[in-house]
Amino acid sequence: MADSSIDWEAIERSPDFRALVASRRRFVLLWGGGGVGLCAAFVVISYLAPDVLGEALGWVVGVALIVITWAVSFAYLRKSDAEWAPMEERVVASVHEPSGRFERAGERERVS
Amino acid sequence: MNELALAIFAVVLAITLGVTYWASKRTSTATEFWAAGRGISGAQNGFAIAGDYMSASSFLGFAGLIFFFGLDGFIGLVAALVAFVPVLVLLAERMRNAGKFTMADVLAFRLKERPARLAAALGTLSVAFFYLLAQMVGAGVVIQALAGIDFAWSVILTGTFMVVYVIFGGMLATTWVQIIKAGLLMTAGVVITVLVLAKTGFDLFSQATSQHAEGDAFLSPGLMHPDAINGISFGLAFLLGTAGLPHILIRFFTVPDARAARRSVGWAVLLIGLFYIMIMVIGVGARAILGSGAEEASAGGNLAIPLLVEELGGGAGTVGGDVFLAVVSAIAFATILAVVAGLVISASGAMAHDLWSNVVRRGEADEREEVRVARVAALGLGVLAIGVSIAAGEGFNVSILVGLAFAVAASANLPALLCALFWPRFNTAGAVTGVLGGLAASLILIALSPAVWPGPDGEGSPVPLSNPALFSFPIGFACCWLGTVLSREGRAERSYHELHVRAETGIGAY
Repeated sequence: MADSSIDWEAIERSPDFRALVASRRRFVLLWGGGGVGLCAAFVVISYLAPDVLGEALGWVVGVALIVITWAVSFAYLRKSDAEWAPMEERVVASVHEPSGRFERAGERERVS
Repeated sequence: MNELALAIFAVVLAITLGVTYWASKRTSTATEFWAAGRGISGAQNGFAIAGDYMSASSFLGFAGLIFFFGLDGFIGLVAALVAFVPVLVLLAERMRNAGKFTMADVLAFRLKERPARLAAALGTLSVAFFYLLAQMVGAGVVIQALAGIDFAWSVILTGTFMVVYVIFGGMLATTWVQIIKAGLLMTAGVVITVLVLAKTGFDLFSQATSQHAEGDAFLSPGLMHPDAINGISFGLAFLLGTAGLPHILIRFFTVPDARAARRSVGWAVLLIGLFYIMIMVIGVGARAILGSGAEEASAGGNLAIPLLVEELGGGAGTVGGDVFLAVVSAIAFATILAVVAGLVISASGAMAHDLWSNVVRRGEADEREEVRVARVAALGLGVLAIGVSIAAGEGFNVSILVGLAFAVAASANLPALLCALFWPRFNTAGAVTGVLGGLAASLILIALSPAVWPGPDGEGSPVPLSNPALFSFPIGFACCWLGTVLSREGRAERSYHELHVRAETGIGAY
């Protein structure tokens, strides 16, 4: 069901929400993109320049990528609990705050 | 026949039936049937994801590829683990926040309900079908080789139990079958790894290269994929396909909230990563211990682990060898059962919740009807999968089917899902062309590849690719973009703004 009593665009524009999205996006682009990018580079280099990963280096890099995956996941979970969860709670709390800042004046967009 | 293996199979089946009976008492509503009442904890779901993801292809297939080709096999495993990074940072919480039972819920959230669901359901069913076929054929081959049960009966046995778990126990039974299997598989991995290292010591890599005809090439890339393009495409299919696998994505609906969803991925990467490192040791150890003499007996590598444990237990014909072989066979069987059950329940959601309830009945069906249709769909899918697997037969190349499933997941499902979540302008036409374009691209490229055209390993095929992901994934994205920019669309019931806020914060989550 579309909840047309909530002004979603106003929430999207609110400083709390924008700060949350920006902070999470920074992490995702840097660390998530970095992890996937390293793995893609590993795959591409393995086959385009196999000599680079000769002498058993490929196995070391592979295990290192598994450890990197653990580290990125752990960092994401830590940051989620410590930073983003409280930011989410602030946004959620503000939606129902008495000022009515995110409530729509009328149900102008209901489409049946 | 191997009586001991059969006895252990029977114990595994009895335990899973007990779980199913217990779960059936707790499964009646749609939320219970597809999402286990959203009562699975983060850690439990992490084990279940590991059990859902580590198929026979991880356990037997990749160990065999490492046994045969060395590093090339390990590269695929690493890609299959790193694939969970995008699942964690892009999808896990957002799926939980914005979806209800199926991947299509998220895709159709802000698009026109019926066409978007139709397309998404098609993507889900295609992936589930190819993956199911791969696992069932694999089950038939492995059980036949290990326990001496005829191929067709092995497939029927697997298919029957998978349908029983899903129909009676729904997602709760499926989840616990997956958790138990993950525990069994991890335990087996630790035991085999320790035994391998006890036998070889820590210089197993140099022992392995001395046992390989190609010597040091075993340690470098290229033995399996002399063609760079094929190697890259194979790796990318695993790196990108995971985030489009419907049976993995629906696991996030079984936990109470986004926090549990992200924690479950943390558990899953820990378990799967450990297991993959063990598979590396086991695959290299198999080469060091069994040597090149075992290549033919390993049936393309799939039986490298069974041969290895038989050797570690004391050799063929000894009591220890027989016991080890029987236990590993039963675990391989449990592994396949847990994966196929997950596939069937995801496909039943696409058929009942997406196609029946929302496309055919336009949202008029109540929950009881939805679950009834889901059970019928599960039965139908089971019968179909059994029939096609037996008809396709053992000659069907299992790894082609798994690669196809990952390629379709990466090309048809993932681009549309990411666009729906992150691209404000994305619209229904973009979703439909994206799913259909990605699906068509991957299927056509596979059909024209050497594996299929004009018959397995035929020469003169128009497309030299063994896996299409390198090309079909960008085609899928291009189709999403093209469909969107070439069409004009009125406002949907729910805006991107609503999806965006809900996906990021969990407001209004089911």
